[in-house]
Amino acid sequence: MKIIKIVLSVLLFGNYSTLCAFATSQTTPVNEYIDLANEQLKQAREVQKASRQLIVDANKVRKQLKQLRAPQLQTNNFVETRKESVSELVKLLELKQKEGAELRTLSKRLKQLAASNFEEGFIHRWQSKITNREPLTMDSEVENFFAHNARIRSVHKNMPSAKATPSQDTKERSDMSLLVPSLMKQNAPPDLNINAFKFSREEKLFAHIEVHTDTSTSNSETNDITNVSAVPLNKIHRWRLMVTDLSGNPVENIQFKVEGHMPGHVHGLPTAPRVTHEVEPGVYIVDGMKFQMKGWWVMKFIVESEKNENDSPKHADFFTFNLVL
Amino acid sequence: MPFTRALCYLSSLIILNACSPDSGSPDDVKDITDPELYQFTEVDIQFLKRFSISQLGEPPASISNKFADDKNAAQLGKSLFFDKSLSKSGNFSCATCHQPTLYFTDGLKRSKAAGTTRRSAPTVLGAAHSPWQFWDGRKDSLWSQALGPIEDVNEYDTSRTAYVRKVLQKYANEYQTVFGKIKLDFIKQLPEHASPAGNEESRNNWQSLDKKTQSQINQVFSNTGKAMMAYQRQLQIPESRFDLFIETLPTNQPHRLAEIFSAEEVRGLRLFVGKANCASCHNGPLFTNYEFHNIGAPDPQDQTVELGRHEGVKSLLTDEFTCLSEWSDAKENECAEMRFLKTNGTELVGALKTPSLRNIAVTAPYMQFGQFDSLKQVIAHYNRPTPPVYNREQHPSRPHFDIMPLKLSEQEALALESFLGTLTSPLPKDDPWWGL
Repeated sequence: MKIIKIVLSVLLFGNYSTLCAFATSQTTPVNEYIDLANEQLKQAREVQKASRQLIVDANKVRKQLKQLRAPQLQTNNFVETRKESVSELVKLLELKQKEGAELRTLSKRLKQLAASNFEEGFIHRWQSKITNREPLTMDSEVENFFAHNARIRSVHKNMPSAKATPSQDTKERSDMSLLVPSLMKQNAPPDLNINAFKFSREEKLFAHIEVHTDTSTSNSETNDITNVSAVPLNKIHRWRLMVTDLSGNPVENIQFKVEGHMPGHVHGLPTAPRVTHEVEPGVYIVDGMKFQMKGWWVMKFIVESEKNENDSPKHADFFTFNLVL
Repeated sequence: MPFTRALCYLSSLIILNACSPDSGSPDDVKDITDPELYQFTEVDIQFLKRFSISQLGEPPASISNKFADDKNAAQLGKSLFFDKSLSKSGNFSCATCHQPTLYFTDGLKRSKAAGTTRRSAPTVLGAAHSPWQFWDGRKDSLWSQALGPIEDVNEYDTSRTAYVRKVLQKYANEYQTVFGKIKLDFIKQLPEHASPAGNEESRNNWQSLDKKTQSQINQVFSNTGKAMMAYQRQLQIPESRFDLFIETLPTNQPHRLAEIFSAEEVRGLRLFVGKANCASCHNGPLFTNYEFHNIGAPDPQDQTVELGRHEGVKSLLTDEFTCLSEWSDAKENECAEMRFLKTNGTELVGALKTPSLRNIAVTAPYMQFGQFDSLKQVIAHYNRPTPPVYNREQHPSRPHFDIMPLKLSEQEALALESFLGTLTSPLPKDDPWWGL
């Protein structure tokens, strides 16, 4: 296992240096970003596999330990040799767990690098088509207050322990004497990935989302969108979903199922958005998007291919985009 | 905040009204036992201003009714709204259940006309601002909503042909002024009662009519709805004591504010936007977000369970008079709400539209079946809500439940109740649209 780790470290080190070289170069070909991303993705998967194996091994060791310790508890005649093997196993368990965790972190890091390199390649490839690279937000003029913003959750007799009292949720602001309930972003983890560029769950596709600002065919309700990185509050609008395969080529004719929900609020979008058409290869228009409040939203675009019809929905590939509006 | 004003605000925290040129004598101020209660910061004031009726503005432009802002249409709509002769018995009009003196409600748990309606009649005040109509949002415009009660057996109990015939006989000129000249002859040939939504005889009669006649009837029928919508868009809500209070806040004169709101009412206001969390759904100048929520108002024992919006969206899908219908003035792609209508989701089950709280203290009883007789009972429910009972036979999924126990003290509940009383507007005796 240590040998694998060393090999991987070397590989990784190699990548870091290449990455640095790319960052300083002005004339990097598109494909190099994408090739690099693919290489990193491949490594990430290998590392992930190794990490999983270590966790499996660790579990085996834990089982062994349990077996060794069980008689001790019952009979209380602990033998010295057992003691030794136990302490060795404990060491081994710790080692495997540590290495497993390290590899998992490494794999995650490699995937992040792959995603950001792929994003570069993607942007070079689509250039003029992309109007916004930033994570989507909501117009800053929209105050947090007017949404059913407090901690509204499904509470039922079966879930009696539900949450804090409302009084604990009011926030004190130095510029306000009113104790307006605190809200919104409360549940979004601080390290949440809110990128507008993402690999699909199965890492077979790559996609980008942005607000669709082309008003030539839209209706009056969507005409007033000017800030391309901001979604409007309570207004039906459109998004563009741009999809490529891992070679960076647009993927056509995908049937998507669109879902959206707020993890902190047990409710979904107020509308049922859908992909209405593909304006050019790989560029899908998602119409009917509407957000009735600020906060943490999760948008899911599920790939519905014919092949998947017999598969359980769990096996369908999908994109997940987190938004903190 | 300009510097001098900031200075004024800061010093006023120490010495009340020290900077106000017209501040009252110390004797006036003495009455205020808790001066801090009446101190509002600049941000507080900006926040509260969003609830003022002065911020309401015109109703959103109607895409499906091009006569929505036509004054003649509104006049005709007013006549139709109050005309009892258009109901089958000649005893009921829209104003039977939407009485101007009761702020366009009827004070009943469930409304009574030809029969007893399923739910309580909500006010029509402010309805023009809502994207969905009825408690369950089963209509997507006010004009389409207005057509429902006409053919409802518990309300007008009349039929499409009978109604259209009477309207054209009585209001031929007014109708044609707004909607253009039409040949009135076709009404002579119509069966007494015919409608696609009526009883068997009425439905059979409707089937026997040719497409052109059906179309003529539907055209007039939908236009009457559009006129009544134009009328309801004219209904203004006068300023209440609450609005006066908000307007007076920037003067930063506690003794003046104390003349408008008692200490208990201010405490209630602070609870309303704070701990009691009411403003989370009851927000904006009409104190509603127009969304659908399940607050678990108890279902009466003898009835089927309240499916709310879940049922409302099903009705919308088969409704004859939506934005997408041929009677709408909108192009199909303009009807975004209908095109992307959410038809599934556990949060729709048992969810009802947030009602406006304007004039709430004088429009009892409360909730869709009038389950609560008083605001005290309503607040008690929010204080210790009972989750909706899950009826496995009737509910498609466990009903969503949107509220948390408020845990207000008895005093706090009383303060909240007294605040709600400040939302009552005076009846505008001189406003002709109200018909007082």
